[in-house]
Amino acid sequence: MRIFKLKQKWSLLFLVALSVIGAGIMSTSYAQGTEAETKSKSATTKSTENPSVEKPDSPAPIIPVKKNKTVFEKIDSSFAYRVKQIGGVLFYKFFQKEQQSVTVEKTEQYIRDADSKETFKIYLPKDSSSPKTFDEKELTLLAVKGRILKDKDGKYILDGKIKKKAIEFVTLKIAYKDIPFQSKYILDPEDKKYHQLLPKRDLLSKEKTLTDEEVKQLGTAGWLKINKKSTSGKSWIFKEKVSGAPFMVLLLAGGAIFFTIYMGGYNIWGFKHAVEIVSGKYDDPEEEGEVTHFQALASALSATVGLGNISGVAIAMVSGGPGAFFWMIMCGLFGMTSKFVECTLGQKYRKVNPDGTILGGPMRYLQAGLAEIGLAPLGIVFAVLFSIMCILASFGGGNMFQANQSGTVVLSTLQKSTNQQLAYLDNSILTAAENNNVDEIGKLQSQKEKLSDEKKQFENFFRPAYGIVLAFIVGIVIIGGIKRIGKAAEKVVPTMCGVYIIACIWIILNHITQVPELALSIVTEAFTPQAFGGGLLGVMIIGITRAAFSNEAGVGSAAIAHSAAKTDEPVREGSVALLGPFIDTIIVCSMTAMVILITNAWNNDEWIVKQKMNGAEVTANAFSQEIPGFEWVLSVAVFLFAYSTIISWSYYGERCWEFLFGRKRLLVYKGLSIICVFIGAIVNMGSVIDFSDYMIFAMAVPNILGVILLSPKVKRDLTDYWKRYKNGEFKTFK
Amino acid sequence: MSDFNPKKIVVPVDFSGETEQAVQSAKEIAGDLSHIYLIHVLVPLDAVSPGVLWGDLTDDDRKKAVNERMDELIKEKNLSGVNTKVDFGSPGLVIAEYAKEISADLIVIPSHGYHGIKHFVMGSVAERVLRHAECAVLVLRRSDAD
Repeated sequence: MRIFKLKQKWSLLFLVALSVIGAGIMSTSYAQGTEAETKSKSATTKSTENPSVEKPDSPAPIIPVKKNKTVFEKIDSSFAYRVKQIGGVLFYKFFQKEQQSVTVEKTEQYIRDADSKETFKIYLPKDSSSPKTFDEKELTLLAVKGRILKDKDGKYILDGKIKKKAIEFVTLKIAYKDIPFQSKYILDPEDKKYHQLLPKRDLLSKEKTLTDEEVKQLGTAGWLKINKKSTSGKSWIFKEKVSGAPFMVLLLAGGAIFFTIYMGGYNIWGFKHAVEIVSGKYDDPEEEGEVTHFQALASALSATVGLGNISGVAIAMVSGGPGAFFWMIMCGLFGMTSKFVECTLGQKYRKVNPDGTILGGPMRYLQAGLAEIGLAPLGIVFAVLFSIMCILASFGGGNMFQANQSGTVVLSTLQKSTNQQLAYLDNSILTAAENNNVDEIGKLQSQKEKLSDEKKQFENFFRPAYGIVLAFIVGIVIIGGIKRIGKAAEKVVPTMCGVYIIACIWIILNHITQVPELALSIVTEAFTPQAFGGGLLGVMIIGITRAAFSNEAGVGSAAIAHSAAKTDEPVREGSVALLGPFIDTIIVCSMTAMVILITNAWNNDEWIVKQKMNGAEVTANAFSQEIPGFEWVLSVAVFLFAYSTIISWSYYGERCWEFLFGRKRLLVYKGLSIICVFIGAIVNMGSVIDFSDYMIFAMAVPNILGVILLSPKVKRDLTDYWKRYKNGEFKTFK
Repeated sequence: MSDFNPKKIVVPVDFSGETEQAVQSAKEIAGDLSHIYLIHVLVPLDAVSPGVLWGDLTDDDRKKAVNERMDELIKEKNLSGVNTKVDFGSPGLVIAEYAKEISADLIVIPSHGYHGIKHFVMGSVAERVLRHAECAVLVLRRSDAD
C-alpha cells in the first residue's frame, strides 16, 4: 500500500514536472515565434524600403507589387506559421551562443514608368557614381553577370509602385572591391576579427577578414547592411543566437545514451546473440506471432531504409562535412539500445487476437505498461498522443514525403539531358555576356526559355501522373487487399539494398588509397570541425538528426512491426531489433556517406555552390559520376524504397488507428492515406513536409518518456533472460 | 415468453467476458446446447501486416486459430454440443446473414453500452445486427455499462 502511495506521489510529481517543462518550452517557443515573426516582418519592410527613407528629404520608397499566390501557396503559407510553432517546441534549442556579424551590402535602384519601354533612370541614391541610365540591353548584360537582384523566378525587371504610381524597377548590386555582394562576416572572438562566411558548411574564411577598424570604415561609408534594431552606435552590427542543441535531438540522444548505460552496453555484448537469433536458431514455429525474427526485422527495416539513407545522409555531409559522419555512426550505435528497449516492450505488452494476429507497439506498452506501475492516466495520455502523431506521421513522413521525394528523384533522372542542355546554355550565355554580345544572349535566352517551358510542361504532366500511378499501386494493396504486389515489392527491397551497397563498395574500392586520409579527417573533423565556423555542436547535431531521422530509434515505430514476431521472449525480439539501427545507419547510411565523401561530392563547388544541390541529387550525381548510368538504378531503388516505406508506414498508421477507433472506419484512414500519396506527389508544400517530419519526431516524446519509466522492467527481463541463455535453457531449432 | 421457444439461437463470440455472459443466457433460454450456434466473424486479412508481406499468414491459419480458441472455450465452459462457425466479413452483417441462413429464431448478443463520442467512434456490432437481422435479437446490457 505504501509503495502504491509512493508511486502515486511520484507520478503526480512527474506530471507536474512535465507540465512545467512543457509550459516553459511552449512559452519560450511562443516568444521565439513572435520574435521570429516580427523579425520576418521587419525584414519584409526593410526590403521594400530604402535605407535612405529615414532622411527627411529622401524620395518615397519603391513598394514592390506582390504577385497573386496560387491555392497551394496559400495553403502552404497559412499552415507555415503553425508548423513553425510546432518546430519551435520540438526543435527548441538549448545551449545557443551569440554571434556578431556584419553584411557587406549596397544597392542602387533604377526606375521607369510601367510599360513605357524607356531607359531605366537612377532613383536611389541620387548621388551615385554609377551611370545615370541603363537601357534593356545593358541591363541584360548586367543581369547575366549576376549584378542585378532577381526574384525567385529569376525576373529582374520588377513591378513596383511609388506613391501609388505604377513603375518598373531594377536593383543593382554594388560590390565593394572584391567582396561579393551580401557577404556576411562573422566575428571570431578569438582573433577579434570578422571572417567572411563561405557558401559551404558555414565555413569561415581564414584569409578574408575585416578588422574592427575596417568594419567601422565600411559602416560609416554606407557599405554595410543597417540593423534597425541596434541600440548601440554601430548600427551595422547584427547579433543573433546560433547553433544550439534542439530539444528533440537532446531527447533522442539523451535517451539512447541513458538506455545504453542502463542496459550495460547490451548493444555491444548482445550483438552476437542478436545475429544468432536472426539466423533462425531459436525460431519456434509453435510460438504465437505472425512472422519469424528475420521477417520481423526485414519488415521494420523496410520502413526505415529509404530516402533518409540516400538524401538525409547527403544533407548531413554537405552541411556538416566528414565530422558529421562520425556523429551519425555514434547515433546509430547508441540508437541500437533505444531500439532494443522499445521493441522488447512492444513484444512484452502486445495483444494476441483470437485469430493469432498481433496488435503491439508503443500505444500498447504505454497504456498497459505505465498502468502496471501506477501511472495509468499518464499511460493513456501518452498512448493516445503517440497514436495521433503516428497517424499524422504516416500521412506525412510515411506517404507525402516519400511520394514527393521519390517523384523528384525519378523526374530529375528523366530530365537529365534537358538539365544538361540548360546548364550548357547557361554557360554559353555567360560567355556571350563576357564578350558583350547582346544579340547572342537574346538568342540563347529564347532557346533557354523554350527549353525551360518544355521542362515545366513535362513536369506538370509527370507529377500528377506519378501521383496517380503511385496512389493506385498503394491503393490496390492497402484497400484492394492485393497481397502479391506488396509482398513482391517488399521482397525486392533487400535485393535493391544489396545492389546499392555493392555499388557503394565498388566506388569506395576505386578510391581505396584515399580511405586512410578520409578516416583521419572523419575523426579530426568530428571533434575539431571546420564546418559551422568550428562549432562542434553544429556538426554533432546535423549528424545525429539525420541519422535519427533515418533509423527512427526512440521514435517507437519499429516496435509495432517487431511485436508481430513469433516468440514468447520479449528480450529475444528486442535483441533482433537492435540490428535495425546497425544495418540502417552503421551500414547503409555509412555507405552513402563514404561515397559522398570519397568522391568529393560533398565539397563540389559546381554542384553545391553554383547549382545549389542538396539531398538525393548530390547522391545521384556522386554515383553517376563514378558509375555512368547508375542514376537509373538509383531511381528504381528510390522508387521501391519509397513504395515499401509507404506500405510499412500504412501498417503503423492502421495499427494506431485501430488502437484509437477499433477496426471500424479503417477505410477512412486508408482513403486519407492514398489521398496523401497523391497530394505529396503533385505539390511541393514545404511546410506540410516539415510538419510530417516533426510528427515523426513528435512520436518520440511520449515514447521516450514512457520507455524511460518502463526501462527497469526491461532491465529485469534482460538479466533474467541472459541468465537462462547462459545456462543453456533455450531450445534451439537449427 | 411462454410461446417463444427458440430452437436455434445464434451467439456471436469475441472471446471477451461479455461473450460468456451471452453464452450463459442463451444456454438458459435454449435448454439444450445443441440449439446454440456460436459464430466468430473475422475481418479481412490486412494486406500490409508483416505476417502477410513477409510471413505466410493466411485466412486459413486465422480460421484455424479461432477454431482452436472456440474448442478451448467449449471445453472450459462445458459447452460441448454447441455448433460453431467462423466466417469472414463485416461482423454485424455476417451475423445477421448467418442467422437467416440457418433460420435461427434468436440472436443473443452482448452490447458494450457505449454512449456519446465513444459510441460514435466505436459504433456497435449489436446495432448493425439489430438493423439487419430478420429474427428476434436479445441485446444484453453489459454489467458495467455507462
